[in-house]
Amino acid sequence: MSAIVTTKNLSKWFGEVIAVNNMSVEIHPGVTGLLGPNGSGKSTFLKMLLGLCVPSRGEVTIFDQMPRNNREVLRRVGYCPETEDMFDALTGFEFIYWLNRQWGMERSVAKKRAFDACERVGMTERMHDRITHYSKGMRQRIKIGQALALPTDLLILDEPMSGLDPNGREEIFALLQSLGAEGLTVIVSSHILYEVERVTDEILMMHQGSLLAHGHVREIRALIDEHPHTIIIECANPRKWIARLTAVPGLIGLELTTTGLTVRTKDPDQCYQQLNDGIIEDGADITAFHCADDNLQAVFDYLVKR
Amino acid sequence: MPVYRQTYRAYEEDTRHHFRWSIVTAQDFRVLLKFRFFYLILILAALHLFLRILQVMSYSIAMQDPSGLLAGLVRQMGILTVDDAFYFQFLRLQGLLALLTILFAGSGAICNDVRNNLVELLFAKPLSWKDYVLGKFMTLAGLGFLLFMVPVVLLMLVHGFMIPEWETFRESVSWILPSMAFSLLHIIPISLVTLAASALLPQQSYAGACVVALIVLNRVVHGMVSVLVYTDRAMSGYYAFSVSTSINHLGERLFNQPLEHELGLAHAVVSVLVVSVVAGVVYVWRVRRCEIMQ
Repeated sequence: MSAIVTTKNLSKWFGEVIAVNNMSVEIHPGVTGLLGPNGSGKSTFLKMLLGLCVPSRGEVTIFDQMPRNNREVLRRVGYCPETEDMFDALTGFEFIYWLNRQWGMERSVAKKRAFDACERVGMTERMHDRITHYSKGMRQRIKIGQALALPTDLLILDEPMSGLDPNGREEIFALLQSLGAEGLTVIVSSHILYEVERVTDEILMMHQGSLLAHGHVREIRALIDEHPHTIIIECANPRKWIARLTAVPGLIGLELTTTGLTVRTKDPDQCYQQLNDGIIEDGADITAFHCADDNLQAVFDYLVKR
Repeated sequence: MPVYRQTYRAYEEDTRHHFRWSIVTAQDFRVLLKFRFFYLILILAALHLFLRILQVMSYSIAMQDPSGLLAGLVRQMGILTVDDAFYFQFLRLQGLLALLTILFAGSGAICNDVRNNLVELLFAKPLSWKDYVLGKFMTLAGLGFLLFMVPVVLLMLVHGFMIPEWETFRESVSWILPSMAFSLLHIIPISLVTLAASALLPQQSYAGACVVALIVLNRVVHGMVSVLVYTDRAMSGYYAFSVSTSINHLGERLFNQPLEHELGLAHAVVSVLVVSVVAGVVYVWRVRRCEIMQ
């Protein structure tokens, strides 16, 4: 499958500060989460993708072309910046309408798409109010709306969830998932792992300007083989399972909890096999088991500690 | 076939490729219409125009009988006459309103876009820095023309309508080019200096104050040169250091008016050119810096 975005040895430094360090990645269709703490270089990386920032070294291609001042590429990219300040003199609808016009749409099309975008982000009722009267969440919705209004193939959203209320977040999660399912390439940056985890399994992790990991959460987890996996088992009779699991190779520890058992192992496949065998042989007193390490926060913590 | 060729929602409608700058201009005008101060300036300009129309009408009525008492009175008063001087004085006064308008519209043109992160959003779209630079300039140039040329043409039409003769038409046509040139002499340097200040400074108020300070400094320079010339007339070329004096001087030459200062034509032209070019270079350089983070 062709990569939509490709970077090779992409680096950016401001004086002595390295913002992005030697990033070589390929981003494919679907939703990709760009994850990293504040100041890890996410926004600089995204700006380099758009050609808004000159790389100090390396190169970027989007749709096999350089993005800088390239109308063909920029026509197919929607961008939602991180910053909160917006053009207050206009209404939300006008803001999107004029950006559509700048993109190159004719008047009637720009109006229709601005209206559709407002509807898509739940701003129809307030779209004719001036932006100065909007809450932070409403501004965020309009900002996302202007990116969605364009007929793009690549959406770059820099911290799109910031300032949104829980309902708004849920709506945006669902929207991003549906866009990914439609075949659109979406890059969502965030410093909150939960947000990215809700919309995608495909992640790029950045830390201090460097690429820490890239791939599926589980693949990344598998890379950290020196670190034990944690499996949480919810069951009525944990002591029975302790006896069975102590024989599993690679076991590091077992811990009784109020709901069951927590297992730490270096060989999770063996452990899952033992659990399956146990359920078949002794009946199912296990109500649930899951791997805690699929949680992005855990992966992120492990990688940063490394 | 690469996945990205299979676009998920094709765009079938027409796309605008030419005159992209005009969208920037149109948006700026739309934003300006939201401010009361802008309407106030337009009303002042309209009031000035209305008074001048009354003058043209009175003059035309008086001149319908050239040997009449009224015509003689108008000729004696001089101030009511519609001639080169009339258009020159009209444009000079209108220049003050144009300066106010350009200051109001231009001082926030770039810095507000930068502060509101609109620049980032615009340049992430298929809009080039050239479109942006030209679009912003054309907003101010358009405002200038609205305040200079539209009233001039209207006055000429009224004049022609009141005295529908070949001579009136010939006179009117002969005033169009000087009017246009004098308008451009006002619009280009003021617009570029205002845009350069807006691109250099972080806030609209700073940019506005900076341009006003430059105008005051210009008058101070004029005063200082006047003292020098008073003692040594050979130094009259130094008047070119005052751009406003140079613009006025060129206006006087365009409308065949008595020259207020003994300033050479080349000196005046170079003065206006240097200011325009320097301001233009600063403006473009700053926009390019905003467009791409180095």
